[in-house]
This record gives sequence, structure tokens and C-alpha cells, in this order.
Amino acid sequence: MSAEPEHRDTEEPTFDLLLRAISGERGAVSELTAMFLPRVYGLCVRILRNPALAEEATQETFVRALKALPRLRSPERFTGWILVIASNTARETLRKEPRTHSLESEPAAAQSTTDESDARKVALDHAIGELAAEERALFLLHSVEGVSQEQLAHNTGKSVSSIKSRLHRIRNKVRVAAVGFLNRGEAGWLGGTGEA
Amino acid sequence: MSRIDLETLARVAEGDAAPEEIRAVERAARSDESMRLTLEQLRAVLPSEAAPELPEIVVPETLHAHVLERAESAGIIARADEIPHDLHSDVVERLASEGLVAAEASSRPLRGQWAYRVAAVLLVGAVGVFVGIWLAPPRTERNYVERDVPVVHTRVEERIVEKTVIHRIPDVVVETMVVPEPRELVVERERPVESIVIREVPVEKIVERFVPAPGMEVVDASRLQRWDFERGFWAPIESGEELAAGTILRSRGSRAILTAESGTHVLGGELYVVRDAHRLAPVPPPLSRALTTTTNVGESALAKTQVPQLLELWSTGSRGDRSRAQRALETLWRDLGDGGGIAFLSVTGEGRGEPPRTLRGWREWWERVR
Repeated sequence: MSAEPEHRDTEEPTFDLLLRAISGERGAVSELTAMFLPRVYGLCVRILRNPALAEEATQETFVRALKALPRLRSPERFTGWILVIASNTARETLRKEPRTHSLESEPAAAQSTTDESDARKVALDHAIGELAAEERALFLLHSVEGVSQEQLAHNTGKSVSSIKSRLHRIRNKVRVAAVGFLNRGEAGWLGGTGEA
Repeated sequence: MSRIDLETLARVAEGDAAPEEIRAVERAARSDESMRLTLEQLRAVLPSEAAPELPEIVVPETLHAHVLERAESAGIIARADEIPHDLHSDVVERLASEGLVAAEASSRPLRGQWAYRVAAVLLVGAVGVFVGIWLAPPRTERNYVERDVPVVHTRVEERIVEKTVIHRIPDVVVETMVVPEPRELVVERERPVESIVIREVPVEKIVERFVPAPGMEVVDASRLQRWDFERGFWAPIESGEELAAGTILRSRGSRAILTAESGTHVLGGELYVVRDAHRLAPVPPPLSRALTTTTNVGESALAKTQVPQLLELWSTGSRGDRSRAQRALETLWRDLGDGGGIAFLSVTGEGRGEPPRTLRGWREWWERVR
């Protein structure tokens, strides 16, 4: 069984900052928003595959989070909390606009590059886009954003073991799709089977 | 290589495969270069020990401002151009803390005047109270000395405490039930026997008894004879004599008249028998033949030659014929004797015994005496 992947350092907001944001202090709200805007927007874009809808979902995410902030029980888990809100909001947006995904998919995969690292990124982004919305959100929250399996289990109402096995299946699926995307058109080990 | 095999490689890359599966894949990868490269690609594209690398996403510059605007419109934060309601007090406190203004005094001149007035009123009141206490008459002085008192005994006392409890009355559920009309149910049971009473009940038994028919009372029968069964001859009939039922009659001539109380009967040359007080009936031919050969009174008794006819009458006749044949044969038996071995007794009539009672007996007798 693989270990938990290391993620970027999560900077949790200070308790004082959260209190000031709860009191409606504009500066605190602005600071909090600026701190989490890239991650919230990035998550929304990767789930929705549409920048315009992602902007709308990002705004809605912050409004919901700031309204629900007084009810936050564990301020030290603010990051995971707001990312789960962003994921749910993005999926709601996707349900309201189901056609948007097929029309404007793969915002980053359209780029052509010769760099191997960039190619892997594009392939991975393509593979994520191939997932179903729920699987995509689960993968991004855990494997990309680093939300713990326990918190995901708590938010989805499922057991940790169920989340864990499901994440393994999703990760394998992403790997297969990404490698297929990388090797498309090549007569390599895949034999040009057109996996992509 | 199929897609299933690629998924197996993906599981190996994830570290999620079984140990024997991992070993088999590694052995195969050592001999298959393309498989090894694919396995490396699977591991590199999504490393299990680090977060995957994805294309960077640029956040729109205006998005932060838009989020704040949404927060303003949602009432979460105040608008940027609004003056906060506590901004004035915060500014004054800041100035006071910097020593630029006097604390409280500059901002509240009127409050000081009112404070002086209230203080003067309180002072006058306090002086009045003091003077009043000083002028009041002396009172009994009580000195309270505080000391520790040991607990002598502990009294346990029970008290009934009434507590008001509010019971919530449950909602009354009204249920309508249809009750069938009562019906009368009959249950039959055997009544037990309480006692047995034995009572004698008179029962009338009807016993049929034959009474001899009344005889015919003769008024005039001068030309008629009756058969005397006792003596065995035809005897004359006297006036006033009663002819019992069963009496056999014959006329001396070819015709005779019997005048009786019940009426007059004309008799022919054959034998007649008296049936009752009113009727006469002809005698059946066999008996008639036997009886017509007998002698009258004074004549000899029944002829010996009549025995076969009497035996036949005895055997074939009715009950009445048999009794008549029996009487006729008994008469002959007395006249002829028994025919047994003791002649003396037969002559004297003593020790003769009883006449036969059966047809066989009469036939044996006839064999002896004929």
C-alpha cells in the first residue's frame, strides 16, 4: 500500500484572522480570500473544466464559507473545509450546466510541448478530465490538494476504508489514461492500441 | 498486451498489487523493455509518494475583487466606501492614547456639571442621616459574641415535599369502532340427573279369552235328534233344552223344523251343527258320513267298520273334527276294549288305562282289536 503523498505546505489561517473575518472585518476577509483564492479557483477549474464557471463557483464558495465560518468547529482544518465546500459547489454548478464540460474541456491539454515534465502534466490533466465528476473531485481533493481520507470520509458519510479503496481505483484509472495519452500514436509497448 | 495487463501494471506502480503479482511484473519487465518503460511512465506520471504535478492555473486578476463584491452584496462585510459606525470612537481613543487629547474631559463637558449636582445631594442626605441617628433615644445594647458551638446531636427529619409535576397529556386518539349488534346465542346443555324416582305404574293387560257362544234355546224340535257325545248315540231333543254351540243335529225324516227362541230353522236330511243361538251350519261330509252310520238310542254303538273313517277324519280333519273323531274312537275303545294282553282287565273295564291320544296310538289300537 502506498504512503500518503506529500503535498504543498498548507498554511492554515490564524485564529485571530478567522475571528476578524467572522466579525465582518473587511481586511481580514480580504486577506483570507487572497490566501485561499488560488487553491479554490484551481480546484474549481479542474473540476468544471471551464474558467468562467470556475470563477462563479469560486465566488459562491467564499460566500458560503464566510457565512458558515461561525459554525466551523475545527479552525485548524480550515483548508480542507473550504476545499470541500469548493468541490461541492463546483459539482453543483456542473449539475446545473452539464453540457459545459463537453464543450470546453481540457483547458490545459490543448498546449503542445516537447518537455517531458510538461507532457506528463498535460497527460495527467487530460486523464483527470476523463474521470467522472465525483471521481475527479475525490482525486483532486486528496491526491492534489491533500485533504485527508478521514476528512473526506466524514464529509461524504462513508467509511475510511471505502474512501481508500476508491481512491486507489481512481489513481490507477488516472495512471492508465495518462500513459495512454502520452503514448498515443506511438508503436510502443501499448502496441498502438489507441488507449487514449 | 491487453488493457487488463496495463491496469495490473498501474496497480504495481501504485504499490497496490499482491507481492507475487509485483514479482511477476518485475520479472516480465526485465525481459520486456517496452513494458519496463511503461511501468516507469506509470510511476512517473502519478508518483505515489508526492503530489502530482499539474499545469499551473492562473487566477484571474479581478477574481479577488469579485469575491469581495459578492461578500459585500451578501452582507458579510461592509462596503468599502461606507464609514464604520464605531470609527469615531476608535479615532478618539487613538488620539487619547497618543496624548493629543484629554481623555473623557474634552468630549463630555456637560456630564461633569451633572456629577457635581448629584454629589452635593448625596452629601446633604448623608449629613441628615447622621444627625438623625445622633438625636435618637438610646436603645438596649446587645452584644453578640461569636463562638463555636459543638454539635450535640443530629436530628434526622423527614419532610414531605410537594413537587408540582407537569404531565403532558398525550394526544387523545379517537377511534371509531363498529360494534355488531348483540345476538342471542343458545347453548344447549344436558341437564344432569339429580335423583331417580321409582314409581309403580298400573298397566292394564288385555287378555283375550274365548267365551263359548250362547246356545240355542229350543221351543219345538220334535223331529230332530242331537248327537250325545258322552253316551255316543242320537238322543231326542226336549222342549226348553238349550243346544250348546257345537251340538250336532239331524232330522228323523228328510225334513224337520227347529223352532227356537231366536227363530225357526228348516233342516234337510244332512247333519247340522249349532254355531250359536241364531245359526245352524251343515256338518262337513267326512264327519257327516261317520255320524250318519251310528245308531240311535237303544241301538248298538258305533260300528267297528267305521274305525278307518274315524282314523281318516282324525288325521285329515280340522281341530273340531279331530276332537269329535277322538270322542267317537274313545266310545269304540270302551266298547271294543284295548286289545292288550290282559283280557280280564279289558272285560271288567278296570286297569284299562287311558285311551290313545295320538293317531299312531289309535292305529296301533285298531291293529290290535280289528
